[in-house]
Amino acid sequence: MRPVDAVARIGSVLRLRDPLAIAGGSLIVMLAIVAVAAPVLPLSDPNTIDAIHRLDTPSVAHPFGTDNLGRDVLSRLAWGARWSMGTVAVATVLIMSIGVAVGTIAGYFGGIVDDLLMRLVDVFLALPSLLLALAIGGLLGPGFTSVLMALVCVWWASYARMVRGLVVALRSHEYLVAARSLGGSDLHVLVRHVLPNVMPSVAVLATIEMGDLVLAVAALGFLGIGVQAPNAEWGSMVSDARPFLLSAPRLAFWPGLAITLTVMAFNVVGDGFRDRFDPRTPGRPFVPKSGSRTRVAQASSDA
Amino acid sequence: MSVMVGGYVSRRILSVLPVWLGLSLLAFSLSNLAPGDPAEVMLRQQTGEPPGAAEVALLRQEMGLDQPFPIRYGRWLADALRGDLGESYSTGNPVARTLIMNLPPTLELALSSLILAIILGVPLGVVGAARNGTVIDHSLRFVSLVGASIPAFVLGYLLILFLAVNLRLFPVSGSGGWMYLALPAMTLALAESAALARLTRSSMMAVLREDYVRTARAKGLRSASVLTRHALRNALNPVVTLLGLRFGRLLGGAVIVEIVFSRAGLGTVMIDAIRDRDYSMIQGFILFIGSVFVASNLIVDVVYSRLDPRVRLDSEKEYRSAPG
Repeated sequence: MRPVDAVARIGSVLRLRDPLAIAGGSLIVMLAIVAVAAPVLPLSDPNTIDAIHRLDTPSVAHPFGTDNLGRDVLSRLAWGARWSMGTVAVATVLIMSIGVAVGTIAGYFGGIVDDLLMRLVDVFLALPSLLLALAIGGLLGPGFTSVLMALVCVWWASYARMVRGLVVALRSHEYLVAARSLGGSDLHVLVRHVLPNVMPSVAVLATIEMGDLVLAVAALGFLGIGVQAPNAEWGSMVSDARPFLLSAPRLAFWPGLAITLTVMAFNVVGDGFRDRFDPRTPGRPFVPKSGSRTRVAQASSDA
Repeated sequence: MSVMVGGYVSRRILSVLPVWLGLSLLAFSLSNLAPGDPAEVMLRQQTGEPPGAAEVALLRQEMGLDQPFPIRYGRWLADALRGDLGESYSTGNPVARTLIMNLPPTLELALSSLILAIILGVPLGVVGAARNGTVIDHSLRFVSLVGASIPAFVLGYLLILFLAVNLRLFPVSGSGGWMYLALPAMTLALAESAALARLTRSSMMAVLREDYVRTARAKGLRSASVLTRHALRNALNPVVTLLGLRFGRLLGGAVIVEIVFSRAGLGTVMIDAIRDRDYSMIQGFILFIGSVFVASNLIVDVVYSRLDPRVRLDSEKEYRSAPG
């Protein structure tokens, strides 16, 4: 299969139309493959220090050159993809589960449960997300679990709020009333009737937020909270490149480009999904209520 | 009328209280859930070697760490309400004073990049909406996509390389006059103006479909006048609201940018605190930043309610602050 065909195939599988979104989707698929296959790819070991080949310019053996410790930059980029994509994937699953659970419970049961849960959401949204993630990651120390904890603690709240809004809007629909009056239990109604209506919007939000998560993982890595040295991570690669910004700017350039392209890919795919899948008016996201705050919410998720 | 406004303002201030209390609980429990004993960390900081169990126990008692969680939280909260956030575990300086002294440079950076972002982003969004679908629109969208996707620290390095090192327009890093502010502010503003341009564009597109715009055009007004006098004024409402809500995001970004440019401010304080495992500073920082953020949202809402009466009426039903 020619590369062009492969890209077109990915586009049609993901059901995207916009060429930019198709390119983004292909990049994400490629990164995911690299992330999974990094250990078996024909790359040099990412952590082997080579004092003779320090700061080498690109060559056949090291297509992207070597860093200040003589480590292969290409291979570190690939392992960095494994870290970034892995963290973001696991974090997204956890965030979605918590956010959907809290939002559904709050929206479906209403009353004091709703009030308490939403005040909790308010607290978490009352802090700049990156700073809260930084504080949590900083308190827990470097490593996969603390980055994961930081991301989940910060990002579940916006999902919970969105899902709650959707569920509240659904609650009064006739088919839910019908399902209940036919004797359906709360659990049955939630799983069979509420969740299927909520999930498309959740999936769209998740794709858009994944770009933010990649940025957050990179920022934490840059600040020394992500991966433990000597393992490779894009953000920490940029930060390690600081002393060589003038002599070897490519050391900061490649990981920086990797982060930017990955975030761009998630952003365009998220936009594409929103246009394609969101059951509400095409191109108009999530919030189904009318009134002056709706325009703000629409515009904010456009932004 | 004034009674209504007063009612809205006091209700809005009251609605902040539970959030602020929750914030304080979050800040306090986070640093208490963290691994490591503050007393041990403190002794290790002072002597440089692992302390004995007896010493740790004594200091724990002195610091009140042997008390149950609710009592410690209550004490900390009571002190915090008087503006006392305790002393830093690593330097011994008062936490509240350190934070307040380092707030102005961070606010200066966040505000100047906000202004820069408005100057850049709003006109670009208007042009994008007015030339919807053309090459100009598409390239503007692409640029704002890149702007929204590039991490601040990468953009900061790029600006250092091109504007400071190659063109020698600005100093590479440090603190001082506006020359030192220029690069950090640009770094922060570019990402923000990208978001603003997208927002202005989509808001303008919605307004341009309204009847009154068609009426204005039908009257034969020049299109520039229709755009600015009729469309932009209405399209800016969501933009203004969002500016306030995004201010917290800017504060977060400012912290990173400060570290990239080795600029004094809250960012440096935070990174030092994390490096030294300075729990009292970190919990103070969370409460402080949260309070600044909540207060800025409050101010935006109150100001906005004076500008747009519909907000007051809407809030009669329900108030929900949007994510930052």
